[in-house]
This record gives sequence, structure tokens and C-alpha cells, in this order.
Amino acid sequence: MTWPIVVVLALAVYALRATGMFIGDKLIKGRVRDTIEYVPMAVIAGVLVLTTFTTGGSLTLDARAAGMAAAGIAVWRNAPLAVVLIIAAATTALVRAVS
Amino acid sequence: MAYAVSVLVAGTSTALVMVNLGVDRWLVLASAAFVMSGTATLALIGVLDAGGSAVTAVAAALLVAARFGLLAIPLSHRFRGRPVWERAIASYPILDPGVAVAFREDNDVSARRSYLRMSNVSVTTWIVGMALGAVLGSLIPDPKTWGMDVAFPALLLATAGGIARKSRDMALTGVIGAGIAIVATPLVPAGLPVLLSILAASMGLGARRGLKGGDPA
Repeated sequence: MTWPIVVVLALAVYALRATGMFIGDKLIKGRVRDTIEYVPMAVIAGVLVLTTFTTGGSLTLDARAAGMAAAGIAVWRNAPLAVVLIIAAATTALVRAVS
Repeated sequence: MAYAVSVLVAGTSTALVMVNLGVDRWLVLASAAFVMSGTATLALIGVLDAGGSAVTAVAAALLVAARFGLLAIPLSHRFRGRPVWERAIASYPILDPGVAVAFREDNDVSARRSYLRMSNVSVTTWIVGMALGAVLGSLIPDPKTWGMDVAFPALLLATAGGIARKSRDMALTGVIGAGIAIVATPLVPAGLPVLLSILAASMGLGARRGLKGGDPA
């Protein structure tokens, strides 16, 4: 992550918001509008499995998977964010320590 | 206020993750203040960390942020006839909670006031949270020893869980997106699997149309 990336991203994200504010009604309608609502979920799910099951661009299965399984149960049980993160980290550290 | 606390925790953990991935602390603060989106920032560092190029990473982040453009549309109706500078400023903190409170008000004046108040909370707690995480992050020696390296995917999992609760087709979108990323990883160059998982968005929409009538979505 470098300065140019952050600057470009910041400007572009602001541009997206302002576009919606100033000319959104004219620009976006129908199917595109419906599809965009689903994009964050799709991307987040993609990034989340990649950061769990890959190392340096290839598939791997290690202690992170155990941590994420535990985190999954916590999320399912509606645990607060801090608790989810602590459970995930603690489980991963534990599995790493015994294996 | 529970919302402020959750934004604070989300900001702190996002910044912690970024510092652990080796991002400069000032860059963490800059993205906190100027990008003003947790999910877009997470998408960016996720793709970069998976070995994707800067262009792919920014593309993924912008696709995630595209929904702010959509959120802006109902909000813009509340700012009809207001000066350009006011609408330009109001565009900066467009996030789900602020737009949601503006929705609930029945006249435009109180809608704008609620939006402003909620946005102040979001912006302040987000920046403070990220700053806190940036400082804490440099105190933790090796993230792997404490299992801190799963904080990032776990944060995403919690975010995804929150979205999945909204409807069954949202949950389905997540499962398909995850599946595509895994299957694509051995087949295409780094960075691309995430962009491919976006295809799940149109499948999720298709599922909603297929389930029409039975699902409250």
C-alpha cells in the first residue's frame, strides 16, 4: 500500500459518492442498481476466503482455518465484534502452539 | 451509544490489521480520514496482501464503494434545492447508518439534521478508532504469535455475517463469491480471483428473482 494508491482511492470513492448525490437519479436505474447492492457481499466473501486459505497465491490449510471456524460460530451466535476477533486470534494461536 | 462503540472497535481492528501487514502508520491515518469506508479499505489491502496489483486492488475497492453512489441517491432527495457546496460536503460521509436515519425523518430539514449528527459520530469514531489501532499495532511484535493474522479475515467474516442476515439471497451471494475465489485461485493470476467473485453479485440478484414471493428481501 502506497501514497498514490490511497490518494487515487480516496478521490475515486469521493467521486462515487458525489456522483450519486448530484446526478444519481439520471445515471443509475434498473438492473445495474440492483446488482451493485450485492457486490460488497461478493467481494468481502472472496477476500475473506483468500486471506484464510491462501499463502503467497497458492491454496493452503493451516491454523487460520481453525480460528475462522471458531469465529464463524461466534458470528452465528451474534457475538460482538471484539469477541469474534479475540476468539479467532486465540484459537489460531492455540492451534499453532500445539501443532 | 452502541453504534459509536462498534465503529470504534471496527476502526481499531482495521488499523491494527493494516499496521500488521506493514502499512505505514500515516497511510493508515490518511485512509481513515479520506477514504471513509471500512469495507473498501479492507478490500484494497486484501487484494494487495493476496499478491494482486495496485490496479486490481483499487478496482476491487471501488466496486465495493460503488454502493455509496447508490446510497447517495435517496439522500440527494433530502438535499434538493440546497447549495452545491452543502451537497459537496454532505457527499463526503455517505455511509449506511447516516442515510438510514435520514430515511426515517418525515421532513427534509430534520432528515438533514439527523444525517449530519449521525455522520459526525461515524467520522469521528472511525478516525479515532483507526488512530488507536495504528498506535496499538506498532506495539505488537509479531502478529503471527498471537494469532493476530486472522484478525483481518475474522473482521471480514463478522461484516459478511451482518450482511448475510439481511436476506437469504445475500447469504447465497457470499457463499458463491467465496466458492469462486477458491476455485479460481490455482487457475488465474493473483488478484483476479477477487474480481471474479464479483460475478456472484449477479447470481445473488438472480436468486432473489427466482425466490420472488417466498422471500422477504
